[in-house]
Amino acid sequence: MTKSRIPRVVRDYLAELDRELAGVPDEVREGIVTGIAEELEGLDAAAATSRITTLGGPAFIAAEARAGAEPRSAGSRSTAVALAPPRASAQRWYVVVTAALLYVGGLVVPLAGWVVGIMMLWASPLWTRNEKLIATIVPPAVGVLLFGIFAIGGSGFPWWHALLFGGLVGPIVASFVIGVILSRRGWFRAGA
Amino acid sequence: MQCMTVDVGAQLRKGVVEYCILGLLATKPTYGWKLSEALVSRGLIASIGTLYPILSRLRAQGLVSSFDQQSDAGPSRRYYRVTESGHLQLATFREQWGPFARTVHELVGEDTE
Repeated sequence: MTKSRIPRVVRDYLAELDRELAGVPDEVREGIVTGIAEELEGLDAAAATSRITTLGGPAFIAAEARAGAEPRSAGSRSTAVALAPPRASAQRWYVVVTAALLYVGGLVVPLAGWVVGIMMLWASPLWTRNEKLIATIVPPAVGVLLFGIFAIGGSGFPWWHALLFGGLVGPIVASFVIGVILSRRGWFRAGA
Repeated sequence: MQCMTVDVGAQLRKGVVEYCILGLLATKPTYGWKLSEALVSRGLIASIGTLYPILSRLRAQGLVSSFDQQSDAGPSRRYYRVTESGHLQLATFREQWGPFARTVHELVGEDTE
């Protein structure tokens, strides 16, 4: 859009906004003016006036921006930084232990090792709820599914083969694959 | 008394608005205006002027990053998204918020009068 096609109401509003934002940190000032200009771009005068009305006057916006930027210039820190002391369950060694239990915990200490790994997974903020649910549900589900296919699917497998491949190998492989994926994510997040 | 009520609301918003922004951006990368509308409509910020100083702080802390994206029909916009560090910060907040809110509710309780 060329300057001549920008409605006058938009040009005047952006110019006044930029003047009112004098003294506000450059990044904030540029962000506000650019963000509003993006939104008003392409609108005709009537539509732009409607948007500007909902937005509020330049002096009001600038006062809010100045008030919001003041704590930073005064040296105070955001609550976001102060909130999170490093916790054991958010550190990389925790990821390694949890992943090891998911990989081979079920082999070293049958079932109990894997259960401890899942409990550690749920106790950490490094993984999302969905990731935890997948890690908990998928391996047993794979076991049940494969056992069902081999044992009662008419494949001719002896029942102990069905138990071995379905009930044991399937969940272990599934848990290993999930463990690899989640350990990489957890490692990255813990170091971020 | 009215003044005290306003101060309580302002203090509560001040304490959580950064995490509300992280929560919104964690759902989907969003541009400033849309983010501002979502927060203003919920009474969490007063105007778009309140939003950008917070976004600036979140970027400085490495919790949010920005990128420019050309839309299909409209203009190119600056979008904001949560970084890996921001996701971790948000997860930590979620973990603390539930017990904290329950504790406050237990102590303050409902207005039964």
